[in-house]
Amino acid sequence: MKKTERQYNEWLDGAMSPTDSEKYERKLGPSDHRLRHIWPEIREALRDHSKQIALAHPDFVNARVLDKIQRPPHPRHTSRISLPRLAWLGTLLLCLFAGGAVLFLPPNTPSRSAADFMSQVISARSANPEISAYSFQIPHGRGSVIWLDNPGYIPADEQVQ
Amino acid sequence: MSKACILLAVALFCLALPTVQAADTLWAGVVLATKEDRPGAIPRSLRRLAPGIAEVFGTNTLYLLGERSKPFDVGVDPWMVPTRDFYFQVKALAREASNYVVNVELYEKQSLLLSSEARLAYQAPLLIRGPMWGRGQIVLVLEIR
Repeated sequence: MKKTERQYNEWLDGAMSPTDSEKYERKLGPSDHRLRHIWPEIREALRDHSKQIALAHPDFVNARVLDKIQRPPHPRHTSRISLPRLAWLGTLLLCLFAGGAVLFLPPNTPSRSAADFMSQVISARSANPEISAYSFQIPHGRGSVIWLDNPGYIPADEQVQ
Repeated sequence: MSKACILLAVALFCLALPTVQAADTLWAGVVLATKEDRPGAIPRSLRRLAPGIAEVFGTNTLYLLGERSKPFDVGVDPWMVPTRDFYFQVKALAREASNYVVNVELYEKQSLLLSSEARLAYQAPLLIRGPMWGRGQIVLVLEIR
């Protein structure tokens, strides 16, 4: 209840001190004074006409209300798939995947020599008998070179497409 | 606890990654190698190849005239056409533990220039000396990437 409403009710019921009441009345209009004049009669009439509702089974209703009050609140609905569960599930699946890979994939890392990681020319032959071809390894690399002797010359003004 | 679980999962995932073998790619390029007073910038796709080309051909600048990449495996036998004038047909004869045995045919303007059989290892290029062009040297490159 707001302060203004509380003050108005106190004034209406005559619960305000005479000094406060006098001050308060200055703010009010004639309709308020008329209401205060007839308020005791209204209050009596309301009291006479308001009847208590009789419940058919008051004990049962009372027990239900008390039960409702005393019952602990519903537990918060939580999802069955929580973050930690997801993480563990992911870990388990990864372990299964890794295990499966180790068991079923053929091992692709047999003992290898450095030559296995180098490109090598097995044979090279030029289609043009005037061009000879021979091969060698790139001195400090893993690549290989096919060297064509006399492979020709393209003039600078001709475009290579 | 959940953070620890996630970290563990990520670590296991990283461990599992190397067991997955990605498909191989065959890269073919036609390169003009020149020796210049002021070396030019090396194209990005040739940076790893540049030291080898420089060592073999004595050049310091590379120009990429054309390149081509295709998925590669036994039975694929792609035509690699980095330029219209120079192109390859590459047949994978066998796949070994760390390399492919291939048959390479190099064509210049529709005529066969070279036929070769070679082992191509991963990131170990096969360089072929092509004709001279102006003041530069044409180098034909094949590489498994």
